[in-house]
Amino acid sequence: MIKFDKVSKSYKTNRNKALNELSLEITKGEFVFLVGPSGSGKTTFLKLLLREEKPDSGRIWVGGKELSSMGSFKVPYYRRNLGCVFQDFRLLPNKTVHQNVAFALEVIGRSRHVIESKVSQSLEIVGLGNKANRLPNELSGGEQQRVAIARAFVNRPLILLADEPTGNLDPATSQGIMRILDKINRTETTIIMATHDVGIVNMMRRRVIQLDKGSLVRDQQRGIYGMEEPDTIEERLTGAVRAISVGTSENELIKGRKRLRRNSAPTKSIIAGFDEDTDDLD
Amino acid sequence: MSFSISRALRDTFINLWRNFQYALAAILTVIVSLSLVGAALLVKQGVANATIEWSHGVGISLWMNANASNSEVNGVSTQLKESSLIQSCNYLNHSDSYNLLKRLYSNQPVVVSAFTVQTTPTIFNCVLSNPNDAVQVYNQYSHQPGVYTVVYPGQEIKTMEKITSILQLIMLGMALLMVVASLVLIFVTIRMAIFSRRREVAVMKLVGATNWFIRIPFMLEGMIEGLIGAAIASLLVFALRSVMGNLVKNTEKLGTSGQPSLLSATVATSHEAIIIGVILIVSGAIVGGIGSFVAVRRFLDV
Repeated sequence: MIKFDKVSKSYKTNRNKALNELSLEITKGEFVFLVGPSGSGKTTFLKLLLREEKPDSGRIWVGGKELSSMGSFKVPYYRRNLGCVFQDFRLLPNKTVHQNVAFALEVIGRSRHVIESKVSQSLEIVGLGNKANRLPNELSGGEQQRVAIARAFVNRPLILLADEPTGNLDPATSQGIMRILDKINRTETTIIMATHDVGIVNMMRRRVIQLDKGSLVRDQQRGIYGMEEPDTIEERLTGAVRAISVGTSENELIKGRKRLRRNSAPTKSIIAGFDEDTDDLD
Repeated sequence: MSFSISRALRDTFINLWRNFQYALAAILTVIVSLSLVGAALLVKQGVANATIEWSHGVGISLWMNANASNSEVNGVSTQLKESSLIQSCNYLNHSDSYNLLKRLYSNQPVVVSAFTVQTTPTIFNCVLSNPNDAVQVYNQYSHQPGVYTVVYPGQEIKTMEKITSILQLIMLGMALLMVVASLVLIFVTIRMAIFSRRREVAVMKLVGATNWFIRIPFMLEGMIEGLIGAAIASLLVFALRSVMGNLVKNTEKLGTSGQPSLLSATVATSHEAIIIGVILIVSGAIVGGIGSFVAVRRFLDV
């Protein structure tokens, strides 16, 4: 489905390579997490797949087509096989949910009839069938991201690219998003998701590709976020908290911790002033 | 397909509406610049009609009596050929001069209807060896048998010609500057339109809308701005022509000479005005098209 062969890419503004001789293969229907610190090349990887950027050297095949030799007039048609979801949703604020999803089909010239049926199907999949006429700013962050997923999926792409789709969302909402992505993955759609979300990667146990400074440092089936074992105390702690949260509701967990902190008198007296505010951030 | 066309048109007008102030500025500049171009063309055409058609620049015209006999005409013709003052001559017979009359007075059918082919004087249009000899030629020929009158451009006409040509140059220069200004304004307008719709454009690119699908509404917007401006400019040019026509008519009523006046020829015919209008509309569309195309190429790269 997707094959990278010694792909390198650097930007004019940065002497370090964004990707350095990266080779890997992703087969149809896989669910891949792309992890690594900021600047490790995750977004470049996605941009190359979208053919927003061309590699300096090396080749990329998607569905049997080589991307850098593809004529620029063919790129739009190629992109119709991809769906995209971003951290900042990228919905059009002056269009309703329905119009936002329909827009993706309108601009590639689908007939009204096709648009009507596909849009409502897609909105049903993400569970927003009843909010079709709302505007994006009337929705919660999680709901907006679900609209974005509906838009990305409405043309039934072969591949869904997600760049930190849960980056702006709280853990419980993130899990909802992951359930939808999982549902979409079951329709044989390949999903590539760049993320920093430890809890989600550890919970899903899918293939993990870890990049660092543009190089592949780990490619693991049923992997977790960090290297084999979490090695810092902080990672262990977050890992543990996430592990508990899987299965139980995240909200319950937060409420429980709030209660716990309120009851501990000594700390309360010291941090009472901003305790209330910081609590919800988690 | 019809769906995408209606969509492109809808998008175009939504853009125009959202960008109203910029669009207005662009349209106004197009109006001013193309009106200037149109006025310059109109004056140019008028002057060309008056000088070139009528008195052949530094030439001289011998009008024969309409009923002059063949021998009279031949006599004058031979004399002209042999004269050292005359370089060359062009003889307009009855039908030639009648056609010329019809052309010059096509906006005044009353004048034309007063003549028939036979009652239109025949004319010798001559080029002088030395333009300053005009008076001498006038004195020599105006009393020849069969000659009705000798017409030659005075020094005033030559000066007028110079002044009008300088004025035309200035007008065309200003018009050119204004055309550049309107190009830039359309460019900026389209740039603003692209900027205000950058989110939509980003989504369109992402979901695989073709380049032309994204570009066409913006280019149409620029062309429509150019066309609206050009249409108004040509209306102004038509208005200018009829104002000029009325002024000349009034002057002629005041004048006592029965001779066809030079002034009447300075008004371009309505036919010429229509051609100028078409030129303006086409150039409006071109200015709009180029301005928006450059903007689209620069700011809408895929």
